[in-house]
Amino acid sequence: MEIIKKTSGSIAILQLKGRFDAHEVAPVAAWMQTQVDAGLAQVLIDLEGVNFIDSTALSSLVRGLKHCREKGGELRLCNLQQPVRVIFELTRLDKAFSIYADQATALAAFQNIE
Amino acid sequence: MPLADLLPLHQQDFQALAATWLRLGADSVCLLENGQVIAAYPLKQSQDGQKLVARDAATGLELHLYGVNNHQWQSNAEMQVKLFGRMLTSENEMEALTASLVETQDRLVALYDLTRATRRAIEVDDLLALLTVESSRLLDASGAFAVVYLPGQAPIVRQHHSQKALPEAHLLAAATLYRRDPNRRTFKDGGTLPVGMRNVIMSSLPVRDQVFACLGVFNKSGDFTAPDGKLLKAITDQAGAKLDNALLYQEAIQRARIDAEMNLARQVQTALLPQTLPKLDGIDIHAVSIPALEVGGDFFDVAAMPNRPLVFLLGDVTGKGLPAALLMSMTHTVAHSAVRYMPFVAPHQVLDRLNKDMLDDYSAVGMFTTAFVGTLDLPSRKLMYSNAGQSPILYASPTHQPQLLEAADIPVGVFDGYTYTSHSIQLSLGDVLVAMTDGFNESRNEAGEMFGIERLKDELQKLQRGSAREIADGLLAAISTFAGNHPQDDDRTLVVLKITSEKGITAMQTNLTISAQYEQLRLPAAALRELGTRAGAPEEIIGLCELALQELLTNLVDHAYGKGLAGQIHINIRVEPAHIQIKTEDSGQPAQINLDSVSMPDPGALMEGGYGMAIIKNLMDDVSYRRENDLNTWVLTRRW
Repeated sequence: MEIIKKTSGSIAILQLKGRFDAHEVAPVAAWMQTQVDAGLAQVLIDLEGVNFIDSTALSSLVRGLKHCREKGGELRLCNLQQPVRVIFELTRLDKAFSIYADQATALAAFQNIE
Repeated sequence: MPLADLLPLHQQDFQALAATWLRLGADSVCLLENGQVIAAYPLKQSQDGQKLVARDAATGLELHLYGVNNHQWQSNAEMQVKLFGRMLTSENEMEALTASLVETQDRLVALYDLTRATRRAIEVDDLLALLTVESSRLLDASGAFAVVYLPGQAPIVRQHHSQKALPEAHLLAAATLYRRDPNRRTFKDGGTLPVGMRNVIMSSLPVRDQVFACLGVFNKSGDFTAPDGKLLKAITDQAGAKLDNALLYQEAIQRARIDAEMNLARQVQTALLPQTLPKLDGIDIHAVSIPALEVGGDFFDVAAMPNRPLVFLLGDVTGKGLPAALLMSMTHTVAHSAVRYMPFVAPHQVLDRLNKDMLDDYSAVGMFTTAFVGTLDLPSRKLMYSNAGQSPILYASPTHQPQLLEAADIPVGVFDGYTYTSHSIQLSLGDVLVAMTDGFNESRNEAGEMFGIERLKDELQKLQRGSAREIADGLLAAISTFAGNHPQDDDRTLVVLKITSEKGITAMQTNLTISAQYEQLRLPAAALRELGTRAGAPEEIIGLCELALQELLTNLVDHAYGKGLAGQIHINIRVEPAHIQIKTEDSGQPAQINLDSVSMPDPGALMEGGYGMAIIKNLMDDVSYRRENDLNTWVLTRRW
């Protein structure tokens, strides 16, 4: 999986591309831990390039979400492709996450809160 | 010739003359030529004393009459010596005439022999060999040569030499001298002649306009004479027609050989093309290739192999004749193996491969080939195609007018490393695809008018409800009717494919074994996707099964073996007409799970696990687990 790290103001953006599964979880989880530990708890994960996500990857996102919220931040998702959206709906985690159509909308959501 | 030599013939005449003078009182009679006695009678008579001398100024003959002093005989004697002189002169002339006649006769006989011999020499080589041998013999020279300049070919040079053969270049140099100055036929060494040639006489053979041929005879002791020239001209005049015949014969032989090679090439080509077409449920295929008179470069192939999509291709190598035929054979061979042995056959990959493998061969001769490659996934009826400049490709469906599938890519054999593209069409019942070579739309009628693509579309619309064969035959018949008596200029090749039933599923299965590690989990996922697609399972079902399989395997890696523990998982995937079944076997720890109580965690609880088995249960119609003989067996089934 390809991982692109960007920032927009105080918001850390992670763009993922490829298959997001148990085998790929470790670097993403590590990155989120570093962010949160550094007090950078505003995180946006762009899943535009992801067409497959499994429950292990999903769990890592849940953990990330919890950590961000513990630090007073938020983990938002954007650009969910159909196969990925299906899993969020299946696990009903679409209710737990703030999910946006694209990066701009997601970033705007961060601004509104700040 | 001295007259004395002729005298023996007239010994009796001289004796009769002498005897008459003896009777008139002479002692002896002598005949002298230029002061030398050439005859005397009686022989041993002394030749002293008085004599009467009569002289013939014309011949220098003198008659000496010894013992005669009566001058009244002077005029008689002079008349006699004059007569004698004239007689001997005539005799001399006759001798010379006879000799000349004999020589001419000799030459005529030789010429006749040569004519007879050349009549049997129908090969150019034999004829030239005969001509050089005979002409050097007849002209009494030590060598002869013949040069024939044919348009667009290296000149033919033959020589006969009784001593040492001259280099071909020397002979051509001599011929060039003559070609430049045809009126001068005899050349003597004066710096102009090539080394080894002392003198030469040449004469051209009268042949067709485009051809120049000459015969040269060289190195005669003494010089070539006018009669030599006449004889050589007689030889060449006569041999010209023969040479013309021999050249025509040689051309005919070559043409016959090329025709034979063409026929062979055509046979090889015909044999290369599929002799039988696959019979498949729900898909009607027909293909025909009708070569033009001259061997061309059309080819096609249809390959139906187990567990692979149906592959068909059609192409047209530019140009005609042997080069096109050879390239077509090579291209066809590369394509033939590519569509059968490439691990996953995608149309653009077949073209990429063709381009890569054949580019050098095409570039070397400045040729290329257009080609169309299609794959039809049998269960899903999905057509993938890639079009390298091939036209026309027509697609017709019961609900749409026939349309042209434009060529999106350049022909094969033009650019190194060109990347071809694949496109797809979902075919359904009644759809027809007709891939043709330009021998169809570019067919002309007697007025020179082209058939064109619009007419093809119209014809296809009329024919598309028939079988693939009826469509093919109908199109060919339409072209043939249109062309009338205009000959077929180009090969006509077409592949017709028609969908005759709704899509079906082909039952297929695959087995694989992986190590219980995350990084291995993609292999079964890819295998499932590949098998499912090939068998024709619905796309969304494949996606759900892929997720369930991933969840199950992750579970096994995490729990049955525990992270990092070594172990293997055997996986069997079956695609049946209405379901996919996934079965795994592992020898890890038994699963501590009650499937009935598995449910999806509450999203608000933000659980960091426990989704996997719930996802599987949600996605699958049946989930079963059993533990037997230290073996865990999971079976997941999803229907549609």
